[in-house]
Amino acid sequence: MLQTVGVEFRYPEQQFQFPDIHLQKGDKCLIHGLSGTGKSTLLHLLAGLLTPSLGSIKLGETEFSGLSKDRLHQWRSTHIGMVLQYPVFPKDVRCGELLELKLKWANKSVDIHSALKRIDLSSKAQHYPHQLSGGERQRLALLLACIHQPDLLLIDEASSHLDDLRTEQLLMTIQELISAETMVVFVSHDHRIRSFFNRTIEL
Amino acid sequence: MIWKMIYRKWKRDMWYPFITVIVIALSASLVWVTDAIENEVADSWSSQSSGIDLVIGAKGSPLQLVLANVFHADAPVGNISWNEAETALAKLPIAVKVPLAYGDTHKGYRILGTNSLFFELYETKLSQGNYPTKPYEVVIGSRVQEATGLEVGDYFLGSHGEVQGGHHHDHEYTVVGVLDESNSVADQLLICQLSTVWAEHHQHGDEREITAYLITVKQAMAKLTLPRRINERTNFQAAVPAIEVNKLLSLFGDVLGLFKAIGWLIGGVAVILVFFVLLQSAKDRKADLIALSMHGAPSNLSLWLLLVEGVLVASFGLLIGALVSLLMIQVIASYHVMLQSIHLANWNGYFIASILGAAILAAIVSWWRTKRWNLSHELKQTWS
Repeated sequence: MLQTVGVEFRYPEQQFQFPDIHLQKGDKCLIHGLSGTGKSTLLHLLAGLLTPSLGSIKLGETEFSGLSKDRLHQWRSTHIGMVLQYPVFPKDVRCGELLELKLKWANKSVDIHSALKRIDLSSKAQHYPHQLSGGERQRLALLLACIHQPDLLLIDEASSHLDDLRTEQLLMTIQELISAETMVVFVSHDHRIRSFFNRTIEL
Repeated sequence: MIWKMIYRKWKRDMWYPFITVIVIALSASLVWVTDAIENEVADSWSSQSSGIDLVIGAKGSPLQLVLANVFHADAPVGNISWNEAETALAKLPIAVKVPLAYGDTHKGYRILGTNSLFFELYETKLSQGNYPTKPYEVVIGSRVQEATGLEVGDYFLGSHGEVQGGHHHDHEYTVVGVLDESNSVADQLLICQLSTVWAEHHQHGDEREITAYLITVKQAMAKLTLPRRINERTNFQAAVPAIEVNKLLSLFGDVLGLFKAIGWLIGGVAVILVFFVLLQSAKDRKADLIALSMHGAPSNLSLWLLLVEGVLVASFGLLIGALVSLLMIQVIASYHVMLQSIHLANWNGYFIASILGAAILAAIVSWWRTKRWNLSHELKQTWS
C-alpha cells in the first residue's frame, strides 16, 4: 500500500502542495497535469529522491522519513522501480551486465536471457545501452525498473513523445513486465493513456 | 565488474589517465635518478679515492691530476721522468708508491702500465687467467670485457692517444686474465706491466716516463706536510684526492641540488596534478555514477571504482617511472666513467607514498562529493 498525507515541497522560488494518495496493491494510477504542476517533483518524492518539506510518505509499513539517506537508497533499490522520461544508463556496462547488477543489488535472481526475450532484446545482451535504438532503450529501462518485481513502479512522461501505436506497445510492455500486485504511478500530460489506469489524480 | 568498467572507460577515453601516468613517470624518474646520482657521488667518489693519500705527477691542475689518475676520467696533465721521480721520492716518508703510465687505448678503454701494487691497492681478484708477468701481457677489467668481448688468449692492437681513432701500434697485446667486477676504476682498464708502456713508446734508460704515482704515506702527519714539500722543492706536483674530491663535490653538489629541487618540484606538481586529474576523472564519471545509483548501486561501488582507478593510474605511473629510471641509470653508467657503479639504492618511499596518497585522497574526496549529490537535482541538471 502507498499512502501520502499532506505532502508539500518547497523550491526556493516555488511551492507545491500535493493531494493525498492512497493506492492498494495492483492499482495503476495516472497523475495528470500540465507542465509546471509538479508531476516530476511528486514522482521524485515517491521515489525517495526528494524529501518532503511537509507531510509523510509510506510504502507498505515503511515510512520514508524514518530512513537515513543510505538506508532509503538501499531500500529503494529493492522495493521501487523507476523509469525516467529520458532513461539513464552507465556508458561502460553492457545490457546483460546491467541487468545482472540490478538483480544483485536487489538480492533477486531471474534468468536474464528470458527477461531480455520478453522485451525482444535477447540478441542485445552484449550491447551497450547507447548502441540501442530509442525504443529499445525505453524497453530496457522498463525491464530494469521491473525485473526485481518492485512493490511500486514509477514512470515519468514515458509516452509523451510516442505515436499512438508505440504508446499502446509501451503500456502492453508495462502490463507484461509487472506482477499483479505491483502498484504503478505514471505521471503524464498525455490524455491518450487514461484508459490503462484505474485511478487518476489531477494536479 | 569494477575492473571491466575502468578498462572500458580507459579504452574509450585515454587522455586523462595517459597524461597522469606520464607526469608521474617523469617526476618519479627525475627524483629517483637524481637520488641515485647524489648517492653515487657522495659515497662512491670518496671510496674510489680511499687508501690514496696523494697523487704525484706533472705540474698543472691538481684537480685534473686527481681526475686523470684516480678516476681515469680526464686527460693526464703530462708525464714525468721515471728516474728523476724515483730519486726525488726515495727519501720521503712514503709507505706505498704505485706508478701509473699510460697514453694508449683500446676501443676507448685506457691501457694502463703499473706494477702489482696497483692490484693490492684496489684489492682486485681474477675471474679468469692470470696477472701479467711479461711485456705485452694484459689483464682486463670486467667492464672492458663486457664492452669489447675480449677473452683470455685474445690479441689486440693498442691505439695511440686517449681517444679512439689514433694510429695503431704494431705490437699486439695478449689478454692473460680478466678481473672480477670491483666497482672501482680497475673495471674499465686494460692493465699491463710498466715495461710494456715503455717498450710501446720506445723509451729506454733515462727516457722512461710515467704519468703519476698513487701514494700512501707512512704517518698521518705526512698527509699535511708532504704535498707542500713536494710542490715547493721538486719539479712535480702533489695533489690530495680528498681535497680535490671535496672541491668537485661542492661544484657538483650545486648542480645536483638544482636537479633534485627540480625533481621534487615536478614531483610536487605531479602530486597536485594527480589529485586534480583524478577529481576531474571522477567528474567525467558523474553521469555514470548517477545512472548506476539510479539503478540501485550501493554507494561503496563509487568509492571502489574511484579508489581502484586512482591507485591503478598512480601505480602505472610509478612502475613506468621505475623502468625509465633503471634505463637512465644504465645509460649514465655506460657513458660516464665517474658514475660507472651508479645504482638505484633508494626508491624514496616518501615520494611513492605522496603519489599514492594523492590518488587515494582524490578518490575519497570525489566519493564524498558523490555522497552529497541530490539525485533528483542531478538528474535534471545532467539529462534535461
